[in-house]
Amino acid sequence: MSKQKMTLVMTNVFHRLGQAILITVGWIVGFEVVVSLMGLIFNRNPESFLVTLQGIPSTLAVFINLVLLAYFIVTPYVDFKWAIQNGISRKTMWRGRALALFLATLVIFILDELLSMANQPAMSPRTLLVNFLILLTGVVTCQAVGNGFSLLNRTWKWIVGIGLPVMFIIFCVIMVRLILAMGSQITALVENKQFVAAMTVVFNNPVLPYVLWLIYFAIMLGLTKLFNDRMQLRRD
Amino acid sequence: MEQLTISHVSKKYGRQVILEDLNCQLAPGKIYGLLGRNGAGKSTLLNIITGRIFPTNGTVALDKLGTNDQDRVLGQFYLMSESNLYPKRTTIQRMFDLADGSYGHFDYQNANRLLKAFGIDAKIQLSKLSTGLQTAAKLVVALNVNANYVFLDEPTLGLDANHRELFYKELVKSYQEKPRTFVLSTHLIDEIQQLVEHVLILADHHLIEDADVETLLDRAYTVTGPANLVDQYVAGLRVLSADQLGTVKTAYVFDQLDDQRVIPDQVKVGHYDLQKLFIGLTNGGSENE
Repeated sequence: MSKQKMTLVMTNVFHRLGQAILITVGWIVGFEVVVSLMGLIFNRNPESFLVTLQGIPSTLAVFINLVLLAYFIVTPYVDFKWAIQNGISRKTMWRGRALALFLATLVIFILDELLSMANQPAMSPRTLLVNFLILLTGVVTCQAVGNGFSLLNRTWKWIVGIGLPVMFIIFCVIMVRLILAMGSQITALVENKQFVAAMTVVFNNPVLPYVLWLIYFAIMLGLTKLFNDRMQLRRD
Repeated sequence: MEQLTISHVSKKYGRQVILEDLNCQLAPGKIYGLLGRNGAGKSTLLNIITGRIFPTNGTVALDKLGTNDQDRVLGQFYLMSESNLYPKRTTIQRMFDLADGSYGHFDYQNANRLLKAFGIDAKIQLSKLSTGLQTAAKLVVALNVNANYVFLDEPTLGLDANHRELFYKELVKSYQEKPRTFVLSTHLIDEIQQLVEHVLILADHHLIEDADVETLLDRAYTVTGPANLVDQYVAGLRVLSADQLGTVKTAYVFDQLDDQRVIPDQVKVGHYDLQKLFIGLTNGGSENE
């Protein structure tokens, strides 16, 4: 029964994400065609018209990615509500959404690459893998943010939604000021050969970025589960 | 079917106490009435049972299995409530499909028959229906879903008299065909009195009554007669309320009358209904305990 429920969660994600993507594609294609036609009417230049039309796939690739990211920010609470209405546990919902997230990201990544093929040279498998992991990490991060926001009522959503970016900016400003204030010490550190050698070893290590990525990914995935398991019906 | 046990359940929102140390059991295959005044915590209790919200303290278990995040347990509960938890453009047909996908063996045939009786088109979106028809559509799902415990929170909200009658008839029919536990949380006590076997009454964050309707009403007496004789007769008994018209007084007693208590000639003893009892119990106590 759990498996059946998980499939239900997954098909629901595909269904609604598919709808969102179709609407986006409709709008973008419609908008670009209308703008190109208007350009053609005013310029009477068919070549410019065709060039504008050729740009549609790359615009689509960008917007489809945005839809994917936005979908996983916006929908956790909506999905939780219908799932709990139908006796689906949080655990099953998390599993279903996680699997759907992975599959949807994979399909959209392949679609992106196909759409972008006309405008960019073929990429090496390693670059493709890195790009896929970047997209997947972005989507999982959005899922964690979405799940986190699902726990907040409207007032707290505003407070956290504005407060967190402001705090981040303040943190960045403090860091920059700190670095500037420590200018002489940092210069001395950068000129220290031993330090530079150690840093070179660290940053030239091909495994390090993957380890860092894995840690970040695990934290984000853990956060999605943590927030998911605390989701409950809100009173707002 | 397993028994549902609610142990020491409390719920607080900030400093506001909704439920406090609630204990009760729901047996399989029985129709319950969950009664309480506005804000008594009925919906909160049903939300806790079905895992929609977490209790601050306490547990809900079905045959020793905690309900929290167990598909096997949650799959036996269905809560029909006023709040619409489906995405905006969900059609009635989609609601049927979701219930079938999650609980299995949804009775499509009976559901479509009921939809017809309520005059609802399965292809219409739930949010586009009037309040009464939204309730009716949700009831159709609740009566045909394959769950052993069906909780109906305000099942008659917005329903006209004809549709209410249809619902009560269909509820009994559904129960007879497939006995399972129904919990009706409603303010229309008069209408459900004949339907429910057992009532749970919530007041002041606590469960103040948990008994079979028959047992409760067996202790609900009206004592009518001259005021002085009535007062004399009910002395020492739990009197929930009293009405007086001139010298004639009616006392609403909720107690066991013993045989040794001699009824004066001018005093009449009768019974009152569940609604009157509910009002007496939840209006702030007794006069003569």
